Amino acid sequence: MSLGQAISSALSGMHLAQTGVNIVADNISNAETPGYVRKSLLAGTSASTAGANGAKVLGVQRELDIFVQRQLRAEFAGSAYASEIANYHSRIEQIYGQPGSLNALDQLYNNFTNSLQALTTSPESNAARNQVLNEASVLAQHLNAMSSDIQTLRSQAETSLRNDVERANAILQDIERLSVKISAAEENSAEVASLLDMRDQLIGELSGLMDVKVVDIGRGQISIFTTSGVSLFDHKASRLRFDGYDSVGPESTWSADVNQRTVGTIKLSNADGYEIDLIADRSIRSGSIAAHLEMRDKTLVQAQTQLDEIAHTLATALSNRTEAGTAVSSGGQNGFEIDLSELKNGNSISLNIIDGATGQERRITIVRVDDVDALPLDNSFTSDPNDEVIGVNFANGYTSMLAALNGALGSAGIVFDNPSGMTVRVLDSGGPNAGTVQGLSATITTSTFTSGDPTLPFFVDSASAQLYTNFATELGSQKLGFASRITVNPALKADPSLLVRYEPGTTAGDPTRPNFLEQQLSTVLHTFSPSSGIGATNGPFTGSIADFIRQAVSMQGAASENASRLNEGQQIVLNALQSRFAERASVNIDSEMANLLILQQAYGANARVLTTVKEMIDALMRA
Amino acid sequence: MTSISGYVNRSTLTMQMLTQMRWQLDDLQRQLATGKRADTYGALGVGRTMDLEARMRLSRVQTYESSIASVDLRVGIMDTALEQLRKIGEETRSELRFPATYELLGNQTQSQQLAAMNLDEALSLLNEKAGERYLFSGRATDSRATVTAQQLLNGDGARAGLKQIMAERLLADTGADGRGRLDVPAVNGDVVTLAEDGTHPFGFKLSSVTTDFGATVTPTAGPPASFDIDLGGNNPPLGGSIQVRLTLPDGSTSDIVLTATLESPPPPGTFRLGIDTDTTAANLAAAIDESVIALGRTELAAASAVRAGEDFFAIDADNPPQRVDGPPFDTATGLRDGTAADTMFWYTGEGAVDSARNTAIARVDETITVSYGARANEDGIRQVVQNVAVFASMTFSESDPDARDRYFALVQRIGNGLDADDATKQIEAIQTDIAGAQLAANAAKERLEDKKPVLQGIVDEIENISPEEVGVKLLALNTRMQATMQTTAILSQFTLLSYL
Repeated sequence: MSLGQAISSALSGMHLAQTGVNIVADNISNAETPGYVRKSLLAGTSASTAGANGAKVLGVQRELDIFVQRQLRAEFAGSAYASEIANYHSRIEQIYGQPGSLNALDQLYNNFTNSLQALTTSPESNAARNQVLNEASVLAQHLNAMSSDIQTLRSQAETSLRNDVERANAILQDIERLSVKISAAEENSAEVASLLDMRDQLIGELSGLMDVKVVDIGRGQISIFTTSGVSLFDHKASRLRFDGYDSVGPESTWSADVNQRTVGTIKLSNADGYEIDLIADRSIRSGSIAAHLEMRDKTLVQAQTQLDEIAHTLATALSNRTEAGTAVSSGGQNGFEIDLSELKNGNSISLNIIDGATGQERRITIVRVDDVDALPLDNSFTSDPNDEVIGVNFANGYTSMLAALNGALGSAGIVFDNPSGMTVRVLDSGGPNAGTVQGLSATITTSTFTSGDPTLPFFVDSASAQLYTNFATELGSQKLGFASRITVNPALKADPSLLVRYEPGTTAGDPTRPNFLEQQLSTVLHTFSPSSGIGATNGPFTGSIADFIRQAVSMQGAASENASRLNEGQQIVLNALQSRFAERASVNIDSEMANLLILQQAYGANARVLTTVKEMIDALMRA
Repeated sequence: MTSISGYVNRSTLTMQMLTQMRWQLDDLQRQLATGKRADTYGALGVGRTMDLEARMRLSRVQTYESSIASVDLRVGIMDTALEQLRKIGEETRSELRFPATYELLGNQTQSQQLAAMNLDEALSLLNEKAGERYLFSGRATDSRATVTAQQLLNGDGARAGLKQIMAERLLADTGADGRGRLDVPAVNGDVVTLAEDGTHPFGFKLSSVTTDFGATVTPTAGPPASFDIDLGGNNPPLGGSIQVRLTLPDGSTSDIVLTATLESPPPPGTFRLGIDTDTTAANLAAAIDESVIALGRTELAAASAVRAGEDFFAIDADNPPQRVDGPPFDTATGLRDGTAADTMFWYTGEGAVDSARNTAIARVDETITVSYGARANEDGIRQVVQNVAVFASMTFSESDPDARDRYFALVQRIGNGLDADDATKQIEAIQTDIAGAQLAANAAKERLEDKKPVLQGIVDEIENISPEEVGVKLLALNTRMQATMQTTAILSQFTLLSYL
């Protein structure tokens, strides 16, 4: 116990106070810095060999509630996801129009059906005819514009994905650099504390982009995984890549098969060279990247499908007619025959039989398919859940077509043949296990205006005026993206009298065709494909076109409302967590000032001790 | 850390709160300014589906209302036209019932000239339009209902008008010798034979012969029909009479009644008894012949004109006008269809034979349609036009001794024609039908008038704000914002710094 020890104790005390003041100064200067965590002094006694104690700076402690931080990071992902989704939905709502606005989809459709209604009262009026064509054009153009807007949103999602993935990559690189520095620096020092602050800030930003899990492996090192378990950072950062496409249209879809994929996907390759497709793996479930993906690949695709379904039904309701087969017998075999000379690519034949082998009733839809790459067709090609769909190629003549049908259905005890011209006849096979042919009809798209039938090709596919028959293609069918291509038939615009004249010699005041058009569009019920999101696979939606449009608009409105509710909820949770976090981690100037006073006192006291000891030594020396 | 966490951070949390309140304030102001609760379907809430449906119904209502206005206008015009037509029919008929006077002005009487003017008026009424739409053409609303009166009567170019058709028919009916296509009565001993000259629809048809003096009458059913009158060796007594009934082309009948007399020459309506039955038979034959020729110049001519009128006017898509197959006309044996190239079709509208009312149907409500169409060739209208036209077509001459009788024969037939089937009553029936349609349309309009405010109410309730509610919310929000800002300002003063 010498005076020297007192001096060294006092010195250590002063050193502690100095460090303390430095920390206070640090805190105060960074009081407003985002992401700054309040530091506090970790002091302890130092034990020396002689048993004397002094004060020691054990380190700089970050006042951080780890549990709240973990929760907060999860919420960053959730709230970024919710707010992006809400954003997209409000833009989708702009596309669908405001309630009562003159440009809303439902209003334009109402205008069109009303103009047809006026035409039925005055079929001879040129003004009424032109009005119908004008309203139809406006409606078609609006569908085109809406499709274009939806695809623009998808394109923006694609761009946002590219930006987000680049940013995530940059963040991971920075985290790697910081981790190296952290491992090199001294543990618990002030330098490490600010490096840790910077790294936490980056992780916070990353969790806004995708949902991540951070594992602390000690000594300031961490590992970052996605919540599904894919490693993003483990001593070395993985690389993320996004191969975005510049133009996005209705036929651009994501697929796990690289040959079919026409929009970008996110690939992760880690330090070992192992590569994984994050979208195929469903690794990213929250955060803004997940939001963009959901929009691009699900919500906006469904919105486009709804518009396509509307356009498809508009065109086919006015242009398709059903022709029934005629009952025939030959020998002891009974069945039906039908003339297929008018059957177009995409049109179908409906066959109702009782299977000879099983005794069950079977409903079969035979579709004419000219594009062999589209075969075989799936049962979901038609909206009817209870029919079997068989696609048949007509290109190689009736012989091969009939061979295909007999091959597919011969076991049911029925026989197809071609008695003459372009007629196809279906008979039961006669003999044991013969099936029963109950009915045969064909759905045919009318391609001329004055055939004697009120149906007409009112709407056609794009400026090249291709007939719309919903033929099958390798990617799906003509329906895909039809809403962006639907137009009023230019032949109709050139001769509005075709709105009334359904056969040569029709009088100008004959309301047959206008009545047909108006009924089809306002009262006749149609069945809509469940891929539009309205109706279920086993119970597709059946209603008028107006009903479907109202359902679609209503559904978008409801989805938007849900999204903004979700967003509001997320915001509240986020705010609550942030204030909990700030309770501990944010700088309180009052307490810093109080600390400062105390430290000042401590410093003064230690300094006083030093001077006292110095006086005592002086006294000793002078004596 | 239980003290006031202070306004140290100028924390983003409070900033967010203030921004949120500011956003709410802006939205409430927008609501107050536009009167609408929301500018998107999302923000409308669960009422959005009903809102969409109500809006659709409302826009439908307007379309129905304009349909109803069209129906109103058209039926009004049609009703006026039909009323006028009915009056023409009635006036013509009542004029002909009065003791008609035969006084020629030129080659027609005053009544006939009036009829010509009425024909003109009737045809122009039938060609009335509403906008671009002809109202009496059935579905062919872009073509005239009828030709003009001039074309109808006189034809144009190659196409024969009514007068030509009548002239041809007259020749066919009266025959070259004026006997109405009957053979000269043949005498064989004391048997007189009356016979039609062939199988054809023209001229007189022998219906029956009766005597009251016991001569044997042997009919031979035709065609061509003939009657043998066998005196049987017995001279008829003085005053004995024989009645020959003839059917005329328009379906009417005429009787020739001859009584036996001893006067010489026998006055009209009698035949001279001869010394023996052979002479009597010869006299009888001569008397019958004379009566036939006289009848031919009067009754037959009128009947022929009326019949020609029927052939010309009773047309539709399945039945073209009928005319005599010739030349030559006076020995014609049949009728033929007139073609559009050689005959004037007086009715140029749509000729289908289904219900005329259904040629114009308007929808006035979701499930209600009204039928108000008409065709100018409908029964009733056709009869009036036909009779007036025939009456206006015949001409007479001062120097013709039979003209007067012919005229009265015509007058009687025209009067009957307007009476038969009660042409004017049928026009009234048409008027009632279309008035019924108009009534239904107006009833629908009233229902729609009632429905509109209800639908508008639904829309308003869902979409519009109540200004009072928004005003109160604004006030409350305002108070909250002011309190928050005040507290924020005060707290920012509370810092140790200011006390050190």
